[in-house]
Amino acid sequence: MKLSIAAKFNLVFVSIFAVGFLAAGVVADRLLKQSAREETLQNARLLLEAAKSVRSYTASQIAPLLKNQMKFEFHPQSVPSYSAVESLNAVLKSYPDFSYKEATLNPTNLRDKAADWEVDVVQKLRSTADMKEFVGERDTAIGRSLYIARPLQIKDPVCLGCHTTAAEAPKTMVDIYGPNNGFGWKLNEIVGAQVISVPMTVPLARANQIFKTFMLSLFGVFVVVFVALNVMVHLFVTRRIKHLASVADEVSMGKFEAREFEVKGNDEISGLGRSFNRMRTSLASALKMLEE
Amino acid sequence: MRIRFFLACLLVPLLVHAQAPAPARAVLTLAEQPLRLIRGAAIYKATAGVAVQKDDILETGAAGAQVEAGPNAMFALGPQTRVLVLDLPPAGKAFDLALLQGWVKLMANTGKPAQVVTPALQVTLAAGSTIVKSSGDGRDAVFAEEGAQQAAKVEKGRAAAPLKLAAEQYAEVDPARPQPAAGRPPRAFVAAMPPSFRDRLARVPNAPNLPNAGKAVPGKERDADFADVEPWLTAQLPGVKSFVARFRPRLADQAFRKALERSLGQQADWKAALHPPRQGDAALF
Repeated sequence: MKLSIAAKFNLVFVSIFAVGFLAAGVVADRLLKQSAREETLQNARLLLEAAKSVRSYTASQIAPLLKNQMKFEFHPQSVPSYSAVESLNAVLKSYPDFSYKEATLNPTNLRDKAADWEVDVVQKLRSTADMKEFVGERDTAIGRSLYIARPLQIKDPVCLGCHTTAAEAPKTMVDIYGPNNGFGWKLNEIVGAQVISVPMTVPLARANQIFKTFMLSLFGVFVVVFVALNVMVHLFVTRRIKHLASVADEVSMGKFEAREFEVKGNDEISGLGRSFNRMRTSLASALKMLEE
Repeated sequence: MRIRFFLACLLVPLLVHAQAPAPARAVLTLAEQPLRLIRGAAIYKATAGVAVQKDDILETGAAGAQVEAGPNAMFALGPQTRVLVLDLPPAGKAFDLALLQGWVKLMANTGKPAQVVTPALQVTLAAGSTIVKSSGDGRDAVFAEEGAQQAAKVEKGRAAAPLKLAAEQYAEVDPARPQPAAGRPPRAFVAAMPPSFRDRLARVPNAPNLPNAGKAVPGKERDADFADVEPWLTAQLPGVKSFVARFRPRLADQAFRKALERSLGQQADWKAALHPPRQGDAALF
């Protein structure tokens, strides 16, 4: 098979690029997915911290202010979990893919009742005392979902004022939620979990988007390099060798009057041209001497 | 020498007494708008700093007010409220109020039972805080905000058997029943209650240190007209019997006298005041 230098060069170049392109694609895909997942979890952690701050602020500053008013009317705004959910819901308007829940095993407000899978998560957190966070994935009706859960532990005895017995709880609260739910909590007990869920499609879509951009950029760079290298090979190598070959052909047929190979620069082909020109001059002199 | 020692012994208790803090006087510490004060038979305008006296009638307008007699005895009045101070610390045991109309929130932690009486309800509390509403339709109500209390239905000026109320219980007088029933406060009661009553009754900041606390003099506006005091004279409340003597001087005013005779001329107490027996009549017998 007769292949030109440029063709051979391109064949090697394309082969290496294809292998590199595939390898880069595989590695980039894995890294980007991992990075997108981590970024999503990081965002979720920030939201969890925000929720925790709201809980703490409500318990320490809002609840005491409304304590007496609770005798007349129940103000859910004084309940840490309500405040956390409400404020997070406001924040989540900017993060519509995320959802926040204070999944509780025995909540006062049944809105916070843990679903079956959340019960499993809470039990895991309860069974491992030093587990501060649990990250997992699960299948949902809309696809795979990523979630992060942190334990809701009763560390402030003030919380027990509403959750020990119905008789001790604010009566206005019992009027609304009844005497059966949300009681019997104990100090330091993990009663539930803060759970933030986000569909896996979100980090995957972000990763895919970045992956496409990266691969297209890589391909674009290849095309530019390919064209530039071919032009340079043609200008600096192929064209000059062809010219040198045509001059050599003419000399070989005794046409010493043919124009000399034009030498420019100091590279190897220029050196070859210089040598060829010297050889042609020597050959012409030798033939002339023989003729004489 | 003995005389000096004797005098010294007399002076020591006096000095000790002089250094002891004086018992807190009941002072109007908060008046968002000037109150109408009926003292004696005259109308005054009362602002923050005025000392409240026994038998004073306080009437609020569109805004509320607060009266304090130290950190453990105080009461707040809602808007459009009329209250007669039957007794008050430190001279009396505790606040004893007759509420003719409106809302009162009373806090008593002096160890002596305080009382609020309306035309239909009598509330007594040993310690804690209570909110009493006098609506004028016989359905007066009480909410025991803090501490155990007693609520009794009042009929024709007499209190029936009291009902014990636990903290955060509500009772409303039902004209058809002999005793109010305890329960949770209805939404309408809470909604109609002055918003400031939702917070714990607390001293007005800096009120005890006001330079004129208890020394401000209420500005007299005029003598009371019959229309000013008619609701009190016709009310069935404790303390109103003394009104005959209290307002007798106003009978010299012909307009007052005529209006009173038209309205209450047939009542025995007022009849005697309006038509006292002449000295000559007694001599006839």
